[in-house]
Amino acid sequence: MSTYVERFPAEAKVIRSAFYVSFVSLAIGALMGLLQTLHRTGMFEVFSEPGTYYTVLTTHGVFLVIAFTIWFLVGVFVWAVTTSLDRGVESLRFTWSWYGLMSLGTALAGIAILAGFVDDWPIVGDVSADVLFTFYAPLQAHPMFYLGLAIFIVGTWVAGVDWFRSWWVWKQENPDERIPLPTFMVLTTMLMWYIATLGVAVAVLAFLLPWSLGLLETVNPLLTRTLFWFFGHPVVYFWLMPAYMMWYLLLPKISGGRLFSDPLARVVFILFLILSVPTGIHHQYLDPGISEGFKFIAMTNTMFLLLPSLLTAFTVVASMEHGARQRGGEGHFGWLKALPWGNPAFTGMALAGLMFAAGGFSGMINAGMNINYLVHNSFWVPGHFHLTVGTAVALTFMASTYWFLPQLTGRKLFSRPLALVQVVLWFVGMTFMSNAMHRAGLLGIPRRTAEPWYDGFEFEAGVGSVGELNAQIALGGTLLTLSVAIFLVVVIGTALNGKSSEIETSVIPEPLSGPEDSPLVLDNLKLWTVIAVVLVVLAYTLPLASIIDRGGLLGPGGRAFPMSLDSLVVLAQLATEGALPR
Amino acid sequence: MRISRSSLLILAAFMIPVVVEFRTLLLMFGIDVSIEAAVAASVAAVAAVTLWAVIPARGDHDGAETA
Ligand code: HEM
Ligand SMILES: [Cu+2]
Repeated sequence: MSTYVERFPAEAKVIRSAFYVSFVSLAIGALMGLLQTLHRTGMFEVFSEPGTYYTVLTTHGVFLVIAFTIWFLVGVFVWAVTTSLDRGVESLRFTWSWYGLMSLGTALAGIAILAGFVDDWPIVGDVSADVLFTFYAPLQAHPMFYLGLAIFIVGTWVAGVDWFRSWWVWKQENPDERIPLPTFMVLTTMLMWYIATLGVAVAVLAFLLPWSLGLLETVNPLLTRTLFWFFGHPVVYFWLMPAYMMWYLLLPKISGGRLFSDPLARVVFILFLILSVPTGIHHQYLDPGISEGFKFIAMTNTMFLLLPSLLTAFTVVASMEHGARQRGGEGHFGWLKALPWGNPAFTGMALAGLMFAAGGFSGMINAGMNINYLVHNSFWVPGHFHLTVGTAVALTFMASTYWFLPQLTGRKLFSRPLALVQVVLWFVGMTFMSNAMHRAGLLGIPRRTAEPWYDGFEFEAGVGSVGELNAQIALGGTLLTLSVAIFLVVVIGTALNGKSSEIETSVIPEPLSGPEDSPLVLDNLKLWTVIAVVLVVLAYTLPLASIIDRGGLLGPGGRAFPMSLDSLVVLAQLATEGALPR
Repeated sequence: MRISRSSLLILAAFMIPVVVEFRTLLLMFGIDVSIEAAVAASVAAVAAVTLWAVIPARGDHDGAETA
């Protein structure tokens, strides 16, 4: 059987091009991560001016969670649709057009952020976008940042059209067949994405962009925050659903078995489509101006979201066990030994899944309304999401790259042992960094702070000391950066490697319980979309109405923080002097 | 070798969080282990597992592995 690149050479090129943008973003983001870690743990004074920290943190956040992840997943989606429908894209020009839009958007937003490292540019003057990856008011960026963001998102919308179009044409030719599982996963994820991005589109186009251009005097900060989180929670499923897809499709195959259940996988993706969006307010438990009742509804929806993740844990582990038993594994736990631990794609994804379980537990704590007050905006929170997006997603993407690259290039993977060391190193580094971040958060150490040390005040550890937590964070961050460096070496080495004829086939084996066991209603995408929209309307109409009612569409007024820094310093001084309520 | 080299690598990786947090656990019971001692204990633990993995099991007289 053939590799992907033999079957679809032109599409393979699109996917490779998307992956390479993704990996460059990963490299830039990881470097920033290292600088942050060393500076804020007091290991090295990286920035003489603490304000620079926010340019670095914005670069880290945006390049990793917007560029690295989304560029990778659009590549995966092209692969999923073309292999499972067994047809190339309908029009290569159309495909390259969304690639172009996304590139333009990335370049504009990326340049606006990186320009912040220089204080004054000739002709254009001060350009910066130190607004962090959450970019809501009152932080304000250069218009180029919002414009780039908007173009990037439109690019992903057009990409979605490309995949729906492929499916539509296929359906005309195969009217009686079930939607193949990989395509089903792509379509449900994109439907979720269309609903989710409405929030950010309104926030950017109606408020933030005109505001940064000077067309609007003021905006309503609570409104832009709420619209951001309307998008900001579901975006995590936009990262996670492709990672789940890898776990459902690749893990069983690499384990030597078959997916346990096609119907369960469909149910999981539908639950994500329905429940991802009406939960965003759980990021705003501490926002004044949203009543407790609405927060309670968001919390309830969030707890329901645990269900698809638990279903996934069950299905994926069952599939792995099936694979291990096919390979001769025996006993209650003995089958674990029969798994292909020497295969970096397998080991990386398995470790990512394991760390996701830990991230899920700390996530439940974040999600509980009352206990959230304890950890809100503390270092606990980055501890949590470096396990979820920073490992469950990032490590799965890196590990699956070891399977994808040979498929996409026809070249042999450069050094399997090195790749294995890379994924294990990520696991070790993240264990140190994330565990210590969680614990530091419990002591009240804040996130998003360059120098969390204060005159006349010391954080006190109940157990151990702050110094050793900092040491663990710095050690972990260094190991992680090393791991990214090794990853890049393997990628470049593979791209330069010789062609090989021994690459395994890209065909995904049939599930044990196939689509014929799935109720037909699962494929009724219209029905699920309508339900998803209804839930969003229920969850958001009243909160949005009351926010606008109280503050007005353009807000109660107040000062913007253009490029933010000077005013933030003043604000911090006021806060420490007790002039502001804390 | 009793287990493959990749299994050994993964086993060692799993031991790290256990050792790191074992110290925290002991501290909660008022048993104060110094960092130096904890580092030494973790090195010893990993070394012990490595030794166990490398020394052939009884009956495994295949000289090629032990050479
Ligand atoms: C080289 C590995 C990495 C290191 C050393 C690292 C380090 C850090 C640190 C120390 C922070 C907290 C800064 C603060 O709140 O003051 C942070 C924030 C963050 N990291 Fe990472 N990280 C790494 C990889 C990743 C990956 C792979 C992702 C996601 C794919 C990620 C996403 C984020 C995000 C979204 C933030 C929050 C930014 C914000 O608060 O606006 N990081 N990182
Ligand atoms: Cu969320």
